[in-house]
Amino acid sequence: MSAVKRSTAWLVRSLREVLEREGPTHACAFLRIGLALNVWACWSRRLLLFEQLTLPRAAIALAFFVCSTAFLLGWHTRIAAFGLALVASAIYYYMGGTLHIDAFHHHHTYILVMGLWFVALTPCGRSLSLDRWFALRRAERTGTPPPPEWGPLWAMHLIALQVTVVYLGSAFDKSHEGFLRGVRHEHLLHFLYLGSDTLPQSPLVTFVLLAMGTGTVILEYALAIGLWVPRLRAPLIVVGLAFHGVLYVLLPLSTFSTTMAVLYLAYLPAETVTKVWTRLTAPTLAVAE
Amino acid sequence: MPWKSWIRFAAWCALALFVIGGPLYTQVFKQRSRWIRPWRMYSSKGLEACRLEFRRRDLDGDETRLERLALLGYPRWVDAPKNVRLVTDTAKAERQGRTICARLGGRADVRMYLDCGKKRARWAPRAQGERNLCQR
Repeated sequence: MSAVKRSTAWLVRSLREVLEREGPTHACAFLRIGLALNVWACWSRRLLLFEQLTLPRAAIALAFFVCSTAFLLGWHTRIAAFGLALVASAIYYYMGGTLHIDAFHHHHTYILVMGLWFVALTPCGRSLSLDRWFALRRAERTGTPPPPEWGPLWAMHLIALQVTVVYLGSAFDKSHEGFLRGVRHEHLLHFLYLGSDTLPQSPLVTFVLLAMGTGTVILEYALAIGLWVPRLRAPLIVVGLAFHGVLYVLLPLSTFSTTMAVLYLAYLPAETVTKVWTRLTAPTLAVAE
Repeated sequence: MPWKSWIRFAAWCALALFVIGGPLYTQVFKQRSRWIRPWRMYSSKGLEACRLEFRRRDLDGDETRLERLALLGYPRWVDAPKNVRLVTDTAKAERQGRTICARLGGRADVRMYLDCGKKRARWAPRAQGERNLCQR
């Protein structure tokens, strides 16, 4: 078989595995909860009704609060998820893009919009939700087994792909001499912390700025590729979370860091997330019994 | 393949294409689109910041760096309000320079070195000590 045929067969096989993949749904549920909290942290203050007095904006704001609450609680989750994704798109494209309300038109709001659409395609309401609670009660009443916390996970790969593309795009944009020498870090240091007094001209300062600039770009490329490699995943997740944590504390990034941290769940095998959750909650259940 | 699988396949491919193709279109091919956001983050934050240094020139032409904030009345850096600590334009820098001239008695030779943030991680020079700020 030629190399082209072998590669095509491998691609078709891999795509089939992705599309037919099923598994436990706790990871999707954590994604749902994490994104709901991020969305509230990002937008809820600005969408309070006294800030949105015209009809389309008030309607969007009301829809936001209804859908995001249902989404967080996992009530009629599929409808709430798609509803929230639609509302988030209206916030980004209409309020941010058309009405030019700057607060709604940033990369940290765009990643939320993309994340919400992809999570809406997962069975994120089958675990840790009101829907699950009602399903359990129905099963008890009728004496039938409860529905399994199991479902198709093909959209999880899209979430991971989105995170990878964010890192690749960001690293690509920063791959020029000025950033690698640390000049952007210097801009931010002066603007946010030091004021206008010049830094001392010393090899140590030059080295630190160079390390910050080059290190950022190398790390972003490493995260883009390494998070797909099972052996590198755990250490890179730790490094990635630390990286985003440091940025969250040092820079006014709004919810970008926390959103990326939540989306990391898409890289973890769903079975691992469920195993950890079961282990964490099992002693509590044993005490209750 | 059942029709549900075909729909899933089409949806997955379309979304993957959007995720990958979007930044390719806007960042690699440098096209603009209302619907796709490039992953170009934080590229303009902090560009207002300027680096500023005042130096006193003696008769021999040697220059000594002046402690700008101390001469403006803030012996500790953290005591200076942000709008004094951070200079964002030439006019503001010159005003600070004239204040420093007055504090030094008006006859000093004070030179201003100023550069301000510019896109693509650069500094744009605005003043390189060309004139004596204390001379009217």
